[in-house]
Amino acid sequence: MKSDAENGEQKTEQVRRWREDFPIGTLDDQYVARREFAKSLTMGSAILVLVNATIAFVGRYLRRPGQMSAEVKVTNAKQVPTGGSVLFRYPTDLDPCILVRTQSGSLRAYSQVCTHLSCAVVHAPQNDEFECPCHRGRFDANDGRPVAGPPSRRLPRVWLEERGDDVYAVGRDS
Amino acid sequence: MLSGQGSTLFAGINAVIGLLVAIQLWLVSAALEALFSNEISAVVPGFIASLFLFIVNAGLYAHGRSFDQRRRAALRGSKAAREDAS
Repeated sequence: MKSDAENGEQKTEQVRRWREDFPIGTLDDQYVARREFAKSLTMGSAILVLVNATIAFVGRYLRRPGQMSAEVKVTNAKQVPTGGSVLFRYPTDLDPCILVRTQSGSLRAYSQVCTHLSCAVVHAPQNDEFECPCHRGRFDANDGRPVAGPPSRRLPRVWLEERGDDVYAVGRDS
Repeated sequence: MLSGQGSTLFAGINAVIGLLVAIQLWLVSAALEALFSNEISAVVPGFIASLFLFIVNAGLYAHGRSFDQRRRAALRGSKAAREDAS
């Protein structure tokens, strides 16, 4: 029969073997040194550069200016005076759009759906702008860019083509 | 340089890197916003700015790391000298 001392030594031996197999405690394992933290941040920085590079590549080379869909005759160009507007639907009957003749005399068409909360925008010819009556968002009629109020994205543009006096919608930005 | 000063320097480097990474996150969100609203002219400058910030980050990290290694080597050297003297 073994004595208590021998049992104690054997126990200590077992603990030592256990420590050899798992020499790092849980708390030490979870400890992150400042060097490792800086390294992780720098790696994260590299990943963010890659994400930005991907976005730039997609925007520059893969994204087309407008999705081509079936052509739709919108109106006769002579029927739209400077500051005038025509409502139409493109590319489907569920997509309201607005065509205007700007103060510079050019025809422009955009989706009529406000990019803030999807209210219908109306033309404000005195300012050459579109105005959303819901939250007073305003968009420039020349390029659809938001100029005031809560909207932060421009109105999707509908691409037009004039054939004689007729104006056709031939594509639309997403 | 004293050990405490080195520690402060490293903490400062970490803080600056963290700040620059936060700016890079903002650049990613701005680039995505530009992409989805067809402001294509903004995405390439966003990438260039992000790349510049990454280069600054990598430089700061490399500087901090080399400084840390030099300091550790100096500590080891002084410890060995003390042991030899005793």
